[in-house]
Amino acid sequence: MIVTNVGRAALGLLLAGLACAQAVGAEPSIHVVDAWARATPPGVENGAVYCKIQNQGAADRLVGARSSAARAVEIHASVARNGLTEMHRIDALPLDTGASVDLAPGGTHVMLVGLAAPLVAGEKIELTLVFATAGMMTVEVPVVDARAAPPAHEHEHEHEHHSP
Amino acid sequence: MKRSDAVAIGAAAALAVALGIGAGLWRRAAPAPPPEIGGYVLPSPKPLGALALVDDRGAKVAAQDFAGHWSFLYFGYTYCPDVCPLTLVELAEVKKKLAERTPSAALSVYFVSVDPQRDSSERLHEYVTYFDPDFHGLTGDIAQITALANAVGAVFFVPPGQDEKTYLVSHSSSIALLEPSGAVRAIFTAPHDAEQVAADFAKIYARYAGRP
Repeated sequence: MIVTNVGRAALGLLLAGLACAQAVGAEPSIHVVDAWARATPPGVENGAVYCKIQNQGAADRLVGARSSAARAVEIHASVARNGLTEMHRIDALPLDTGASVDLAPGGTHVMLVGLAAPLVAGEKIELTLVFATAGMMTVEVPVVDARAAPPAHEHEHEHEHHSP
Repeated sequence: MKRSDAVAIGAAAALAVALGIGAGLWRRAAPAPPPEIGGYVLPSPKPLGALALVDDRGAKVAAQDFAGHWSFLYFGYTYCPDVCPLTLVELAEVKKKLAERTPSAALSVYFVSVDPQRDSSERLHEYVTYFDPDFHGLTGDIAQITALANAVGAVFFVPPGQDEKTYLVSHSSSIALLEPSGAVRAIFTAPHDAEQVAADFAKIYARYAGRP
């Protein structure tokens, strides 16, 4: 139905405007949506940021990140294998054309190493993601207390393909 | 058919009958299977052995301090920003669910540090009580933590070649369950879902709580 589609598109644009940033001077091919940071327990030095990265342009790679909220920012993957949990640093996260990659708890995430201050629920931090082709993209990341209920995220396929 | 073939077939048939009878007897002799859970239940509980640890309030903890209540043990470290908080949130949820589902079961949740070099009692106290005011942290000598890990079948290690301040630790993702005798009764394997762990505990509690 047309009206419904227009309504959904408008809602989509509104949400995109709230939670999405676009590379400056490039085609708006990469979208970072649903970003949130886990509020940190007292005394904790490190934080984690989660989001969904959608690539509607040419294949790209997430190659780094930085934030004034932490001494260093790294891309990490928590890997559960053979009953063991390990965290690895990732140098580059591939983003194929049409890919939607979830950075979610227990998986790939952005690790904030050496927080300047505790991450307090309700506050916001800025995170700059660095893509090999699309360049730098800064997103505003709300800090969420994940004890009550982690932010709802769609349980879809990790790699969602959009038809053009 | 050659005579030797006939003998072989006869022998095979006799063996099959014998095995069948044997299996039937074995089935009668074997104990009833333990409850099926997301993980495994030990057929008989396994005692911990001697331990000397320190809790998040600075108090000494020995193996006998695990007696008198059911204990959930998870190994992790406060420097871990992703999986450890995720699991502690699930355990807090498990505790809430079990307060309603098995209100007569006394429960304690322990976060055992695999990183005693950075996780002092004070730091663990701030950390674990953030997730639930009743949660306990355990730390101590690496040898003692290793002894506890060994007793519950958990492993942890620092992968080589890392910075001495920002190193990461690899650790078991499972949660160990001790019964009120203080012995290991079950292991919950990852991924952990609070509803599943609570339902699994309720099964174990129904089956074994009445045991002396």
